[in-house]
Amino acid sequence: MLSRNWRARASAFPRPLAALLAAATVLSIGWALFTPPLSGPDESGHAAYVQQLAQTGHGPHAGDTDGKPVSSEMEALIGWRNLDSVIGVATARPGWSAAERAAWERAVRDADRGDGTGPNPLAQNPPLYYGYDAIAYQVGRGWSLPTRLLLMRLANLPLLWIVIGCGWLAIGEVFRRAGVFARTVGTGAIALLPMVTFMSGVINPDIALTAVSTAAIALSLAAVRIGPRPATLLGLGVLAALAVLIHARGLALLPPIALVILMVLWRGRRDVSAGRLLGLGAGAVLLAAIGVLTAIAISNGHAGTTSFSGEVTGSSSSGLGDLSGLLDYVWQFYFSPLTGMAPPPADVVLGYRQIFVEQFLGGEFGSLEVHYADAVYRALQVAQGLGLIALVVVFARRWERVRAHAAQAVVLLGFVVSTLLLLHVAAWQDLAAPPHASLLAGRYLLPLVSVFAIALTAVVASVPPRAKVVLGSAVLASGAALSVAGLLLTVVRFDA
Amino acid sequence: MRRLALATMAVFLVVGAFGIAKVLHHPRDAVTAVATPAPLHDMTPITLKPGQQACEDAVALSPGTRVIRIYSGAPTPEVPQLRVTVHGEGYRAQVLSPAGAGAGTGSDGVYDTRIPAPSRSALTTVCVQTAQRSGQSAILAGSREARVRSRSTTTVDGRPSETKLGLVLLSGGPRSAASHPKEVLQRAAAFDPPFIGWFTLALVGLLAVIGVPAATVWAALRALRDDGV
Repeated sequence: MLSRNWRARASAFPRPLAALLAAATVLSIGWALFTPPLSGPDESGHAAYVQQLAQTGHGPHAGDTDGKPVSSEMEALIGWRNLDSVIGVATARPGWSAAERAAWERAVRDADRGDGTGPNPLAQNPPLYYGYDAIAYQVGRGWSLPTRLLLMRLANLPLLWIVIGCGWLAIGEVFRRAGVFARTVGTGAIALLPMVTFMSGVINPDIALTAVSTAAIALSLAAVRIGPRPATLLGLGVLAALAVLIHARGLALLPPIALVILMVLWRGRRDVSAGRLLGLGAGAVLLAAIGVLTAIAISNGHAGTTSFSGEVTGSSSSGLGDLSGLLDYVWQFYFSPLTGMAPPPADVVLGYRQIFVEQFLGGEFGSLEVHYADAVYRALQVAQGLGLIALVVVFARRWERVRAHAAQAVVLLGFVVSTLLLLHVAAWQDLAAPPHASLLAGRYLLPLVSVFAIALTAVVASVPPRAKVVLGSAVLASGAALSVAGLLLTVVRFDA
Repeated sequence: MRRLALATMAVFLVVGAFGIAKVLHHPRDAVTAVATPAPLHDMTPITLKPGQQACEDAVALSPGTRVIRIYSGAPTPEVPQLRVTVHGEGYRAQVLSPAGAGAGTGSDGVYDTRIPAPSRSALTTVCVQTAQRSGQSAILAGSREARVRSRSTTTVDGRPSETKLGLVLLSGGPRSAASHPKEVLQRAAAFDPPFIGWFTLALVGLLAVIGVPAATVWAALRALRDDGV
């Protein structure tokens, strides 16, 4: 009976989704195996956090501490296998030689695993993702550090599957009659977006935040459709808590989730008693609040006061005090400067093309030093521009349908506006204060990947049938080609 | 419709395959190790008067290493010849950089000095000085950039230098990744657990190169079938 049920469920599982999950899994394993240890974005800091947590039960500290940023064991690996040298420098190579391996094996023999108490610049991050990854670390406890690091990377696979699965569900919520092909194209845009699988192949909480955000978007879309149910509202509360316990950028999920809860409660006011509505709303808020307070307490305990809220109040005292500077910066991020506009106070300020096209849509790998040819990014920029124009046309031509699904549109817009607002405010504050660093990165947009997929599906679903097939096939094949090319570029960069 | 989808995807995948083939066949420096990367943006000169010596320690030699590359900080046709000494872990060699003007003599920006083949991998110290005991100083390219990092320390006349000397080891002239796939995979496997060797990585690579496009095509065709078109 049980096996029959299981078989029935398996046969009901969408086959195109299964194929995309399989493709993304192969890519993720490929990234995990072919990217040298600790060579992903800020990976040594993230891995050091996991190791410290797993070894001692406490996260590392930031600022003035007596310890070391990484453990003696990790220090030996980084030093003798040349892994610090390769970070962001395309001409550097990791230490492959037998002599370096032998020197590392000698150095690591009695090396301490738990003395990486800090200063770790990532100590301000809340501990949820690191605690999750610490399970993989503990599984590999008896093996060498590179093996444990590989296990920690592979532990991201379930998070990747959540991103893709929830993307499929979110698209299905918005386009209930668009057909399997359009849904497959949208989900393929997630599964085959090179940055999604790349980030799932390195130790970094961004993939966990992407998983939670994608789940929150899917659940929000479902919540506005089915109304106030305990599972949806309390589920949103849990996801809000998880998001802030993963990363301070998870704060961006709080306003849209609050908006969704209010919308759902308002729309359900006639069908459900006021007491029940109040209870559900209060329960969701309580869950989110527990998450926020816990994250703040842990984060500030490890990195000094205001470190967690630093994502919004910034590292500078001038940041939010200079609103016209912020507006000028945001304008110049997307457009050419207007007359009289002062450039942001930094030597290098990344804009729309670098963040949205190069680092998000196309992808940059390793520690951002592995690129495609510039022609690829130019082609992607043109495709993205055409896609945006097509989206506007679709909205204009199908305005009545958009209005009929206004709640879903508001949900999606809420997540986009809140995320971009937080990213720009945080980036401006880093730019405004010395050392005027440009810290915005394309991977920070990954929590919006399902919105990107929904926008793409809207365009694909709106064109005539033959054009739909051509456009959708082009999107899927481009994603597959870019993903494989990104992986091979990484192999060539590090090992050829 | 499914034929149309197949044809469209074939076009994009063939273009992708062409791009990938181009990357794999593009000649690159045949690097066996990078002790310290060359300066990225801001070169800081290391000036060696005749008799002065700059050294870099913990430089990894492989059996395939044939050339030591040092960067010139002032490439002109009259750059002085260098004497390069390598010693450590049973290996010792003293060689001169190519004389005159031309490729690898320093006049083109790089001193490519050939060394005898090491019998095994070894950690060595590489020292550089001008070949002549009098005359012109050698100006080598170093870096103080924060992003240029290495475990090797640079010393000048035995004193630690804040400027790191760019030093790269090569097996010979440029070659493509496609010309030595097994070596590329062996290098990639150097960091993986012992049970994941170059052959396993080859299988994963093949699965990615063939399986990912195949799964994508299958997903599209199956979705169209599910839609009844």
